[in-house]
Parts: sequence; structure tokens; C-alpha cells
Amino acid sequence: MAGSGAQPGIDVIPSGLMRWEYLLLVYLVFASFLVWYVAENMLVWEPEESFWGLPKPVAGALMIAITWIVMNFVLFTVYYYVITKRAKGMGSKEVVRRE
Amino acid sequence: MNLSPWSLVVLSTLVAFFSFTLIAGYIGARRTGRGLHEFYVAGGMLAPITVMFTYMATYMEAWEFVGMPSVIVSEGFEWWVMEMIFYLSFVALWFMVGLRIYRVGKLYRYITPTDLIVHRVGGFERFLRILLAIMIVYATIIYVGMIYIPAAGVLSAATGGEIPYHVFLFLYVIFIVIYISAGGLRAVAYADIIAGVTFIIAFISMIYAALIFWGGFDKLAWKAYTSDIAPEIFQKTQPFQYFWTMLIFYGLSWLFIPHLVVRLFAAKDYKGVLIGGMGSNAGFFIGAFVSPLLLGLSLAAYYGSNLPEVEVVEGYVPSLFMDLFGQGPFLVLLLLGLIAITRSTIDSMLLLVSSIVDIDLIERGIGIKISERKRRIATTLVIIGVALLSILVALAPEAPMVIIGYELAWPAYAVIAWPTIVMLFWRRANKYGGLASYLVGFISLLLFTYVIWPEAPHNPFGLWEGTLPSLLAVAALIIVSLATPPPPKEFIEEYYGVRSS
Repeated sequence: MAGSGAQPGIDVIPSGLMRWEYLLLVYLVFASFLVWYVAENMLVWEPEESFWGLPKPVAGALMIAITWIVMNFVLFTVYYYVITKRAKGMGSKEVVRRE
Repeated sequence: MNLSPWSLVVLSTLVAFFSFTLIAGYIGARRTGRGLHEFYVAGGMLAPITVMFTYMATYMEAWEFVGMPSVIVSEGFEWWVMEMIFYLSFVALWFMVGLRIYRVGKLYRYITPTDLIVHRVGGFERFLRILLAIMIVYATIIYVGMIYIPAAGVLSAATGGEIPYHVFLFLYVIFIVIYISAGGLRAVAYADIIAGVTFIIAFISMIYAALIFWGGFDKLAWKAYTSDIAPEIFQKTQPFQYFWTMLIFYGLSWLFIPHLVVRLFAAKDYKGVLIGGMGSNAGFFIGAFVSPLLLGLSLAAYYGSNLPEVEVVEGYVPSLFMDLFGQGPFLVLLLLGLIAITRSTIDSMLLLVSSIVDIDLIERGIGIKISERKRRIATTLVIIGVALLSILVALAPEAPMVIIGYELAWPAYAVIAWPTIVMLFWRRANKYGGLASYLVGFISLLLFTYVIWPEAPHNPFGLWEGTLPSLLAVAALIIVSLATPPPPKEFIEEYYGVRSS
């Protein structure tokens, strides 16, 4: 290793999973269902049918893409809030210890 | 050989771009400090916006811009949908894994991805460094070769085939070799920003043009869906388990892709990781969803089954733009964007190989004591060797780049990623399990791909190609770790920052 040593802002990230992060497993179950639904029902050539006014395969791809882009912003907000809160909490503990 | 003025413009665009980035690399090199940590991970001081751009520029490549639209009409729409499925798991778990990689990277000042792996495994360091170097170099050769295909194919198609694919292939590789020899890789992060900005300008112009031409997204979608090629390309041909294993095994394996992992080591702080990750994921929505969808549908709508004659299918995209808008500044802008994205990815891959050879092989693996100058020469020669060997993949490509990626390149990364991600969280994993996992994963990958099931998907169950080797690697990690003594308590306490009761 190039060297080690504690640096500020790293302790706020826990090495293990935070309890709420296990919810991501539930999300993966949901994502599996979504994949099954799109693969089995939307990837078809049925020009007389439409979904959201679009051809079915295009609508299916849109469903998947909307899901992951929404997850991106939601998870960014959650992680930013949680880690910043932990940082503030650790900062105040430092101050108390110094006093 | 008499070339038309337009072909000369295309050729000049390639030369001009390489010259420009070589200068940018030189200026960047003067601005960066000395030392390995500075050289390979920018001293771990990249701000959020730089992390975002470097991550996005490295990730977004010809794969999205020309590979995916072409595969939609050459192989079927489902192959692009699989890429969307990949993002379902990759994006959702990116913050969770990315923060942990950043944490240990910062704590122990890792330079290469192998640093992280050998440290966590906690033993067999020399052997493991050599094994991982071989695994990464193997994957890199396929990856770089895969990117050569659109790099040369697009330029050749832009000249209407006047300059053949193989001429551009050799020219491109010669430029890459000159670039490496002149030390251009030294400022890859700065060159990435230029590539990213060029790509965004080219991409926005492209969306605007595509929508104006077709009169709206829904009209484009229906025109494509009712074209004479539609019954062939809009039907599912792969079994559900292939889609599902793409979600789980392919998607998660990209959380530890070596050349992207080092970008996490380079982040200044956790905000850089979070903002950089969110921003680049948002960029992927444009680069991986909107762009290939618009272009792929445009190809189907415009050509139907009368696709243009090109040497490699990746040439469909420039052919479309030439037919729609003619030869001119707009096409030059697009070509610039395409050259930029292929180059930025190759840069990152070769920079990674450079660090692997320099640090993992020469310094810490084989342990040869040679001067700094000789070490630099040896490293440069190996990178040039990789750049040259990669031509083999692109010489006579049997499949579109996307299919080569799914079938050969990504499985090679998956067998590195899966055991590593498990070890990031599972404290019981020990050095015996760690070593066994990489050995079993790599050997089974080679056996399945080249010996036992040489036909894709390299397994009889209809699973994604990387699934079985990744599963075997993780199984070896768990079984061998549980069958042997646990790792030392002091090591676990230090590595995970926990106190035992």
C-alpha cells in the first residue's frame, strides 16, 4: 500500500451496511419483476397495440429507464442526507471531547 | 491514391484531434505533481465536477454512441434493452459500493485496484498481483480491441468507404502508440474533460437534428416500428434468464470495473463521490438511453431493411448522418465527438494497464529493482504491446462491438468484481478464500469460453456469459473461507474500523 492513516471525512462512511441499505434488496426484487414484465410482455412486435401512445418495446424501455434515473436522484438525496448528518454528528462529538 | 476533399477533411479531423489532446496532455502534465499517487489518481484531489466528467467521459464511449444504435438494427432491440436493465442494478447500488471503495481507497491511499484486492485478501500478495495483472490485461486487450472497431469503422463509413476500415484501424493505433510514447497519458483526467465537453456538444446537436427531421419522438418511434425491418428486430429472442442474469450479474459487476474504480480513489471527498456519481448517472440517461434510442429508431425508420453497405455495422450511424444532413461542419463535429469518446476510454484503459504493470508487476509482483527511467520504458513498452495486441480483436470482427462486450469483455471483469465486492462487506472472507475465488473465476471463464462451450452464451442454461464463472468464484470464496481459519482479528478490526466486544 502507498501508506495508510486516518483522514477527515472518511469515518462518516461505515464499512458495513447501514440498516436501511438492506432495503436495496427489496428494490432488486422489484427490478427483477420489472425485467420479467418488460421481457415477457413488452418486447413484442404488435403494431396494432400501443402503450402510453408508443410502440410496446419503446414504452418498456422507457419504464426501465425512468425507474433507474428516479432511483439515481432518490438515492443521491438519501445518501447525501445520511452521510452529511453522520458527519455533523461526529463533528459535534469531537467538539464535546475537546471541551 | 487520390482522395476526395471530404475524405481529406475526415483524415484531418483525426490528426487535428490527436495533436490537440497531445498538447493538452503536455500542459496537464506540467500542472500535475510528481509521484505515483499523483500520476495515477491525481493525488486523490479531484473535485466533484471533475470526478463527474472523468467518470462520464470514461464510461460513455462509442458503445453508446454508435455501438448500441447499430446493434438495434443488426441484432435486435432487445440487446439495447439489456443495457437498460443493467442500469437498474448498477445505478441503484452504485452509491452503496462506490462509497465503500472510496473509503478504503482514501484510508489506505491505494493507487491501483489491485492494491485494494491484495490488501483485503491479506496474503499471497505477489502471486495475486501477478494473477490479477494477467486477468486485467486479458480483459483490457478485448476491451481496447472492441473500441478500435467503431473508432475505425465510423471514420471509414464517414468517407463512404473511400478510405478502408483497415487503413483507419492502423492509423488510429499508430496515433495511440505515438500518444503513449510522448507521455500523453499523464494528464488523462484533463483530456477526459475535453472529450466529455466535445461529446455533449455533439450529442445535443444530434438530438436537435433527429427530432427536427422526424417531427417528434412518437412519430419517429412509430415509423421505426412499422418499417419492414421491425418484425425482425422488435421481437425477443433470448430467454428470460438471460435478461435476469444481466440485471444481477452483469449490472453488479460494473460496480468494480478497474478503470472506473481508480476514479473513486481520485475523488477529493465523499461529496465528490456522491455528486460525481449522481451527475454521471444522469449523464448516462442522455448517453445510454436517449442517444442510442433516437439513433437506433432513426436507423430503422430511415433505412428499414435496406441498411447501408459498411465494413462494420458501427458505420451505420455516420452513414445515417451523411444521408440526412450531407457532408459538412455538423458531421465533422460528430466525428470529433466520436473520436474523443473512443480516445478517452482507451486512455483510461491503458493508464490502468500502465499502473498495473508499473506498480503491481514490476515493483510489487515480480519485485525487480530497476531505475525509474528503465521502469518507465518497460511500462511504456507493455502498454504499446497491449495497444498493438488489441488490433487482433478488431482485425476481422465476427460480431458487433456490443456483442463482443457482452460475450467476452464484461465476463472477464465480472470474475474480478464479484469476489471483490463480496469481500468489501463480508468480514469472514480470508486469504485462502480470496485466492481461490480469483483462480476459480478466471480458469472457469477461460474453460467455458474457449474449451467446454465455445458457442455463445458459453453455458447450456441460457444465462449471461459471465454468470457461471462469477458464481463459481463467489462459491469458492465462501466455501474455502469457511473451511479455513478466519482472518486475524486485528486485521479485520483495522480494515473495517470495528471494535470487537
